[in-house]
Amino acid sequence: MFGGEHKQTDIAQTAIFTTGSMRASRFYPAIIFTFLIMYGDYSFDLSSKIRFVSSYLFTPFTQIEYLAKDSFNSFDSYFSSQKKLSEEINTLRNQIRDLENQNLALKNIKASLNELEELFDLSKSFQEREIFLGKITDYKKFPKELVLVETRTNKISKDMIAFNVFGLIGVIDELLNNSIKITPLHDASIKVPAKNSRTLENIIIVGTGKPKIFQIEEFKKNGDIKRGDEIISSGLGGRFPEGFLLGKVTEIKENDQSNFLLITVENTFDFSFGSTILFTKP
Amino acid sequence: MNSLDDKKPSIFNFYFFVGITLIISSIVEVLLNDFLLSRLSLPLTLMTLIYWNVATPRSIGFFWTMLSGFILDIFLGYLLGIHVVIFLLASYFSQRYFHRFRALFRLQQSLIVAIIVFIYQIYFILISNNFSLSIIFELLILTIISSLSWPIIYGVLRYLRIKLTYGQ
Repeated sequence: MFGGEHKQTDIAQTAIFTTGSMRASRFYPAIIFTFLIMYGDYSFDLSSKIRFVSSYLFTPFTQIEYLAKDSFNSFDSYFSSQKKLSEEINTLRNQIRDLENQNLALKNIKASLNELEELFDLSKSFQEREIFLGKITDYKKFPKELVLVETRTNKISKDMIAFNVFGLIGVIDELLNNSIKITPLHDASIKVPAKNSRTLENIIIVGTGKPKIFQIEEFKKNGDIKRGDEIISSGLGGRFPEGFLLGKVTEIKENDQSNFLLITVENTFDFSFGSTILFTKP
Repeated sequence: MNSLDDKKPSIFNFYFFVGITLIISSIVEVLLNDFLLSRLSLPLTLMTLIYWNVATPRSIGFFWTMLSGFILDIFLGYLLGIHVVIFLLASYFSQRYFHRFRALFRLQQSLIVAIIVFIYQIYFILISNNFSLSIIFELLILTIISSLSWPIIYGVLRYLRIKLTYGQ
């Protein structure tokens, strides 16, 4: 309660009633002493000596600024150079990625060109027949295997057949607006009139539903056939063109309870391969 | 004697504290002078000295007054004692009239400080024998800045003094 008053009293005692340290009896000698020093400096250049000594003594402190500047510069340059390097690395990485993309695109273009070249080579055998090209846009396996092809022409009719770089691969299943569904030749519903290129015996091959595998329908046990025989389309019936390789005989099986042989024909035609499909009439 | 005496720092500590503030203000003044590249300098040391002479006339000694003066003489390139003389005079008159000075409002104190600073700067202009329009301009600017900075210096040093004396 009385603390505040106590403090005020104390301040008053110590401050208001003081006489101070700078009395005239001390002031005059101090002034005289200062003038003596001034005279000494004027006569003997004391201050330059003191400045020299003090500059020598304070050198470490005056160097702090430069040291700090140097440290900051080296610190800054380290990080800025590191930043530059990382930026350069990122730029190079982006360039590499772009080049890889370009390379991939070029590879695709090259593959497409090769494909087109082969298709055009193939088209030479069609002589006067009209050909149309389409781009594969989708490949489906379910509910049934088919390829969706985009075309820009409406001249394609349902009786046309489809080729890729390997050769005859399928028939038109459905014509849609600007696109076509193609059923592969190995579909179980497809029957292709064919002949053995060695014996020229007419046969019918049917799809098995498995890619690249066919079977010869009702080939009698006494017929002339060997493994490795080439089977080509016969052109009979006018549905498929004549003379296109369909596969090779890979397996011949006999069944005691049947008069027919079970003959498997295989080819290497990949139904979904490539990007372009050629359509023509048989 | 009373509980307040226990909280007070020894006179020795306070004496050193006053000295340190004077030396710091001298160093700041030198650095400011280097930074501003002006022929005159902002008299922070003088104002600090005035404050201590007015606030605690007993604690301010010759040693720190003269030392801060010599520091300024050495680092600002004056003849040794130039600053010391004016500091001694400022201390003497501050202590002589500190009762009146304390009783003034802060604004009036600023005005008195501006007059002291003005005289102080004129003293250096006379010593350097450098009369020009630009130095008069510097003189006026520095005088105004000094009078404006007096309440700040006063407030800061008062806060430090109370903190050191009473720990509040």
